[in-house]
Amino acid sequence: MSFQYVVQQILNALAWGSMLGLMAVGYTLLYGVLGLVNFAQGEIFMVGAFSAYLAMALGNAPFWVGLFAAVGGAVIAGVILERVAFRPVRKAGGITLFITSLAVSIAIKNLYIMGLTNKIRPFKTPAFLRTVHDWHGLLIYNNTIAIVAVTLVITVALLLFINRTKTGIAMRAVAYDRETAELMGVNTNRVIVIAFIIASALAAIAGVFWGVRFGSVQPTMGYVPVISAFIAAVLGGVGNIAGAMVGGFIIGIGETLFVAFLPSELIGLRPVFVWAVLFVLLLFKPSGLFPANIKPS
Amino acid sequence: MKTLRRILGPIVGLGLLVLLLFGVDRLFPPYYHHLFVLFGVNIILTVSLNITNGFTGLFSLGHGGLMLAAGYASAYLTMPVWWKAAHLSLPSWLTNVHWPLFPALIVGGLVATLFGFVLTAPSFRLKGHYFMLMTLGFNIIMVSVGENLIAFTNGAKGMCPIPTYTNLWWVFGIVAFLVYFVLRLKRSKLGRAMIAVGKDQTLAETMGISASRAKMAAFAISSFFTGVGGVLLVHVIGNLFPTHFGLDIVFDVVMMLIIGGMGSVTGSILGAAIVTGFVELLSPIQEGFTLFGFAFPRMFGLVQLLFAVALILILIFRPYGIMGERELSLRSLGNAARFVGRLIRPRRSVA
Amino acid sequence: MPSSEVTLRLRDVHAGYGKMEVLFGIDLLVGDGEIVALVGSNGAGKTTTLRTIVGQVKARAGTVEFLGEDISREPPYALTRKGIAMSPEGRAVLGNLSVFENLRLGAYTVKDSVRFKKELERVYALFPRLKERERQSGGSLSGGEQQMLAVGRALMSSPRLLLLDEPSLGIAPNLARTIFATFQEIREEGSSILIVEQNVSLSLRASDRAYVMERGHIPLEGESQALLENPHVKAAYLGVA
Repeated sequence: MSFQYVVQQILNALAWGSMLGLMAVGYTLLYGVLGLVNFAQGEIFMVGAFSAYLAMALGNAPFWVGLFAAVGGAVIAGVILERVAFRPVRKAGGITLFITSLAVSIAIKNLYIMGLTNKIRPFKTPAFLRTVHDWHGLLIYNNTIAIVAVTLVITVALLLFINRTKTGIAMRAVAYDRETAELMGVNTNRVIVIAFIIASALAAIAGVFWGVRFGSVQPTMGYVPVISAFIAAVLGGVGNIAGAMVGGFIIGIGETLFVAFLPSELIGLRPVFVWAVLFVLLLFKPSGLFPANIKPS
Repeated sequence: MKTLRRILGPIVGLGLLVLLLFGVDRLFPPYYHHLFVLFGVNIILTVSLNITNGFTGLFSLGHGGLMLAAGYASAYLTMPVWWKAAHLSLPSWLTNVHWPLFPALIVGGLVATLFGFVLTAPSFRLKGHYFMLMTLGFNIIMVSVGENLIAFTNGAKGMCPIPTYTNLWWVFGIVAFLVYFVLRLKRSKLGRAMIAVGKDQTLAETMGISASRAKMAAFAISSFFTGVGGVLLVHVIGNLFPTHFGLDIVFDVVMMLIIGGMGSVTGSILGAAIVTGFVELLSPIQEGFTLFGFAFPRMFGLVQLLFAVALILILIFRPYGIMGERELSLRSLGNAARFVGRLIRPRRSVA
Repeated sequence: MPSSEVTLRLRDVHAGYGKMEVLFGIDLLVGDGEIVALVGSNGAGKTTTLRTIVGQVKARAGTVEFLGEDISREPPYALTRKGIAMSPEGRAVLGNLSVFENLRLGAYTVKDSVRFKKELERVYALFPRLKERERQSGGSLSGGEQQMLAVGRALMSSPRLLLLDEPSLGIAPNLARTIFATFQEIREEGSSILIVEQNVSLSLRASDRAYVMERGHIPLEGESQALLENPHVKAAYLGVA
């Protein structure tokens, strides 16, 4: 186990960390603003990836169009779900909301399995993203650079949005005290829809990243990042966007290093890492590493 | 006199059950035996889940993992020695053991409880969301451990064949015991403490109830019987594959619980009946069929999809399920009977 | 009072929570440019009255009229745009936002950035301490400062009607007097004010007219000066035998 090996693992993990970070930000927004642990984020992620896949494979569209299709498809799905499945049970409390999200997740997953079968489909990655650079013996993939760059840009944009714009401040207000925010003229329904739009778009972009990075998509792919991403969100503090992104990288890199140091027949034990993080976190600091955005109970 | 009236209900119920079992045993073909056994196992799983999720407000999603732990423990005890020696690396005293069902049930239940507690410990004093997440994580790593510690579990290839010890009498004997036990629990001091904690933990604590003790008791009882259910299950389907105990089975039991009503034991029985029945009814449709000349192709995933959509609708329109928190009692049956009787023969009004 | 000069009118309003009735036929009026107090002891229904006005509680009977328009069916978020703003019970300062961000939120319905800056200046002029603490989080302010923030936040939308729920609660008396002293200036700048208060003497001294509420009814109303002399008021609320 040389230093170079560890650094290489970390480099490899940056893309995965970005994907988890984007999903974690989506989770943390929805949990902050609505109290919803959205288990269906994994399926929105999958819907985004598949929208891109279908646009490129069936429609023969170029990659950029695929990206737009991903975001478009995911956002439409997210908005419909909010209106149809989540809004009617909003008053019923967090646990009902979660079960609804669980049911939605299973429904969407099986819908795609029914329609498209659970085959693995190859994802068309543009050539320039498939190139590799050798830098002092370390392999750096172009897609890693692209994914991390895009993720950083998105994070900065989101932070500007949530801290500087009126809607962003309104969103933080709704997360803290919905009733008072309403008194100030904030239409909470609209704010919640905006949160869903952002969360879905982020999940879709993560889905495209997955396709680019791993070269294939599958209807059951949503299951893989779901728990890791949510724990990353908890790690980062509820409603804290920067925290969720950092959490995503911590979990992503941690997971990858954990698996890298396991003997090869045990690499399926990857979920144990994430569970252990949760265990320790809940034991010592359940509120997360960074300050949360909701009223302390 | 009062004691006689109190035992009358359970004795009548038990008698009817015995009659029913004899009926199923003699009159129905073996396929239906299997179905009824599964139905019984589902009742056990759902009623157990009700204790934590329904009474105490501890929303657990780890029952798959609990069943898996119990399943492995019991399989170690009941599987033929030659198989264990050939496929697993267990300590020799364990490999050479070959026990019947009953001790395996007890050990399975205890192992499930132990694993459950140890692996979800920090979340008991935290809010509901965290407990839910922790149990979900527990379920996922149990499956992962099952698939990967090949020396102990034979990995994803699973353990097979497991002696099919479970039959109608075992299952429904345990069902009868569990239903009676939980109905009594509901009315006992501990049970009412659990329900109080489930409704409003802070309020319960101001009334002097130790919330953490109630929660732990609920989780212990629930885990034990979930483990028992798991043991029964692997001993009727004859195998143990770790992937079988992931999110799908977790969702199935949650469905049964919600349909029946969280907090109602009778509801859990109804919920188990409905879901078991519908799965049986609808599964063949997935294989493809012809209707009015249209040939429907194989649609794998249709049943799960329909169930998921049904659950969403139930949560929106009838979140308390069929029974809510109520139970079916002799009195309510009497009221229902009188109501129907009144419909058939209306009482003549005084002129 | 001619109806063109009426800012707020409650007619025979009944309201409650679930099975519990709290308001039993309330008639109340706030005229243009008036400072009106609604006083009474704890549990009389004062906060419920304000919550009914803004739509957090739906009136079961009767009407709430603002500038002649029936607003009984309006949701709370629509009312800021119409010109009603409230400083709620307990101040409800958003602890995760800074003072500036709280004020920014108060101006959520203000589209014009010039107007926003003007209102901000006005609030800082009224409450200089807020400007000092501009970047501090709302949760780190003292009780008195939070009250100033709640009032200032409500003023950011240049409301025609300012509703204040228990502004003196939990605040040191001289600080309360300072805050109450700003009400005259607020009135002169164009807002009518309805104050709900347990501190009867302070609010009667700061208002033109007042209503006394007891158990969901209003048995007494009149000029505030006159009510200060009223024997029932003196005995029940001012601690004078």
